[in-house]
Amino acid sequence: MSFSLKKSYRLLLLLILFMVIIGIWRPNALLDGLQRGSLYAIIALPLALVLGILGVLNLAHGDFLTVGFYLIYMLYSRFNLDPLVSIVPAVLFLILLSGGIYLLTVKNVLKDGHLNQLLITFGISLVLIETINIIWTSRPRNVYTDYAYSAIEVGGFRFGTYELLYILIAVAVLVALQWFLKNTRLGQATFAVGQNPKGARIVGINVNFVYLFVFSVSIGILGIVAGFMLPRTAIFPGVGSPFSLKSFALAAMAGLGNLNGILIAGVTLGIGEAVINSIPNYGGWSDIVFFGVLIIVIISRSYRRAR
Amino acid sequence: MKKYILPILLVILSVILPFIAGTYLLHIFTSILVFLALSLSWDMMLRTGQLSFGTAGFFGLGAYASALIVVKLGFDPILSLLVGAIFSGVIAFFLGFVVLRLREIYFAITTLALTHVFSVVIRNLPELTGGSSGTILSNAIFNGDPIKIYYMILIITLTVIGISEIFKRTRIHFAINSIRNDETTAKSSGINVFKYLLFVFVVTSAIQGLVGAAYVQQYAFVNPESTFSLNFLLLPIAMALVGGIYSTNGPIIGAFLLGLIAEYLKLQMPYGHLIVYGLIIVFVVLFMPQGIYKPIKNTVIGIGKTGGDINA
Amino acid sequence: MPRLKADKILRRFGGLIAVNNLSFTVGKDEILGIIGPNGAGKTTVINLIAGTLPVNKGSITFRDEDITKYPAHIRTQKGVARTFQIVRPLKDFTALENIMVGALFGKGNKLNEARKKSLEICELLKLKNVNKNVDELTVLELKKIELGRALASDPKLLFLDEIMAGLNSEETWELIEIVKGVQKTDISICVVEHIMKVVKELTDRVIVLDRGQIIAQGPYSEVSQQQNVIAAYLGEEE
Ligand SMILES: Nc1ncnc2c1ncn2[C@@H]1O[C@H](COP(=O)(O)OP(=O)(O)OP(=O)(O)O)[C@@H](O)[C@H]1O
Ligand SMILES: [Mg+2]
Repeated sequence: MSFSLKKSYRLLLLLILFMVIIGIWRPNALLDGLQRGSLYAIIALPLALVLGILGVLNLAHGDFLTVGFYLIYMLYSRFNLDPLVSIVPAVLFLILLSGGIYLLTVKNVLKDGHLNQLLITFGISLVLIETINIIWTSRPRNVYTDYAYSAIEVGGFRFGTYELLYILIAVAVLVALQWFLKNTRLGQATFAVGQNPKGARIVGINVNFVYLFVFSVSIGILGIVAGFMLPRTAIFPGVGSPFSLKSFALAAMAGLGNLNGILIAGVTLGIGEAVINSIPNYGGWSDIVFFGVLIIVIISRSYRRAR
Repeated sequence: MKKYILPILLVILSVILPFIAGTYLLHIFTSILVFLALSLSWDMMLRTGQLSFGTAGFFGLGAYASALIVVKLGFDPILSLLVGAIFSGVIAFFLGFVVLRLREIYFAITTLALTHVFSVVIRNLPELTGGSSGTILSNAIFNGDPIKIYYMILIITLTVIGISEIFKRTRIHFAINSIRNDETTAKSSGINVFKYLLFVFVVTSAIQGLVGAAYVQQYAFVNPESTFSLNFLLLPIAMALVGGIYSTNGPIIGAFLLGLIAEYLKLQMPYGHLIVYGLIIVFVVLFMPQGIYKPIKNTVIGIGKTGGDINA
Repeated sequence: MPRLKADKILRRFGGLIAVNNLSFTVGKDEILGIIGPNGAGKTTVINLIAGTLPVNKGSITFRDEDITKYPAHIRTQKGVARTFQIVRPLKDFTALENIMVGALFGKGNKLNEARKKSLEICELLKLKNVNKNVDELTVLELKKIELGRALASDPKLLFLDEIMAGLNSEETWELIEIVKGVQKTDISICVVEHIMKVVKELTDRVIVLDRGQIIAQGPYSEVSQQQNVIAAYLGEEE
């Protein structure tokens, strides 16, 4: 784990340059990309934490987000609860759910090879999606709130204010996480486990608890994302699935353990997607940005390692 | 000779099935055979130690290659099956040079990402592929005759079973098992690791392409959504896991077991019957990592290893 | 011409130079000892020559052929075999099958030939439980598998990386006799060993490594008296 900006300064410089160019060329795409990218980054952060500390790539990651969506949707449609208010119960529910799932399943394959770990989270992903399918069917749902569509105009240039929140949240989550890891006992323990689990165990850290904590709280963070996203997102059982892979793309791009890098990578790819999306007739190709970059990053890393 | 009796009986049974089973049952068995072939191909790659999530991708490539060559160039549908296999195999060959440098989660994720890339590319070439709405073939293969289609799939699946057995009984078995167990030992024993990985990757991808081609000719329809569906990845994996990985018999047993269960559940619950696959994957990984074939075999035959039996 | 000639080979791990401009030869019919304190670079030398790791600099000539650029499996096929200091059995195979792998791919035998030859090697190694899985085997049996797999590839040059470590005295003598028998079949051997009685018993000549360089060479009886060798080993000698 590291938050050092030094590690990612080159990425950051590139990003800023990239943003300036895009900002001049297609200001709308820049804004859109910033928002998407921030979302991608907050969703990817917890995945990277679990990957960095437990060593498990959670293929069900995005589907926990979906669970959050549907829970908040249910609270909205039954009790007319505002999605932003529902963040609190959603976070709690996700922590409990993922904690339970962790104890029943993931915990038991931590010592196994990657094969079992990937397969089990793959299975969990399917169970989550299909449970939602059984309860809510595959019909798309959405939630309407006025504030989600508020907009302001600056110098004839009109843009939505709500999505700007995403950027703030991404930065807030990153800062909070950073503060937590540096300044609390549990955070320091987490840090230590990430560095060297055996050593941590020897100095008396309850490694099993740290694992449980990291897994469940990471998933809990997705509850926050779900609350903010829902007013602008139509949901269906598979809505979260692509985020698992996209999150891994960011984690791989930033380099394992580099949490700041994830925000930078997320914003970069977000803008990349938005730019392609804004090109008439070629918008559909935007989906290739993440997967293409993921493949390129993984492969170029493997070449670098070989040297 | 005794150990060949059961396989021979099963083959005979599968050949006379159209005469004893009704259309519905025949349809179910056809679909089970499709997934069985995919399951075996996935397992064959796994025997090298590489967890592939690309099964649906190469299935889809083969399906599209076959469909398009029939629609655009008027190829014979039966010949188009070969085209599907070769197309997937050739793509796998070239991708193999980079992808097969990767291991563990990186290999798994890259193959999954490739599946998405294939489907995005196809969706964005509407002139060629029909884009996201897909392409309809004017006619299903054999004019949709279910018996002929059944035999076509049966031949394919039996061929795949044969290939799997070749993989188990020749030096290939020694090579890929060694690579899975310890690559360093494999190399310093004289095994050309990359060559074998590439070989298995191309063969299994070609099988997936072939099955995809047969599937699309059966239904006379392709679109990115359903052709690259993760079901063609998920179900084969679940089947192999349940039956028992690293074997031919495991996926066979798993495919029939899960295929029948799934068919039953589909009738019982229209939404979300796939949950069973998820639960089964989780359960098997946790509680019976060997699947059901080996434990059954060991209790039937008695404990203890038969001398030098490389198929154990 | 010597069977093997390593010329100024060098290998870095990050900032550490594990093998530093090292040159040595192994003659036909020779048993060469490579000794030196922990971390001297002995295993790395084996890795470089067997192709498990690439060299950063230098060249390796084996039977008049430059093999520096060849990957590990080609070197094995050409006749360079090695055992691993920490045994690396193939766990889904039986003892016999482990050895067969060497015959199948190192030598290029057909299945039947490989099985027959591997059984002969088991006999030579006095390995009894040929059909047991490796997780049921003893340390000695695992070491024999390492040796058997290497021998099955029909090597002309064999590296043994501390195959005696962890064995009791009786077992050690058993292996020493086996290695002596092997040498008579036109196989040049390099033994890396910490146990000095083994070095004394087996080798014609030793080279002493320290920090990746040769600090002494010659017959063991001479080298073991040298001051710098003793100094390098200080606190290491058993
Ligand atoms: N793969 C590697 N990566 C990084 N450093 C390595 C690697 N292999 C060896 N080293 C380092 O190179 C040096 C030489 O190691 P080597 O294993 O060759 O020593 P050795 O002489 O075989 O020691 P021993 O008697 O303990 O087996 C050591 O400092 C070791 O830490
Ligand atoms: Mg060593």
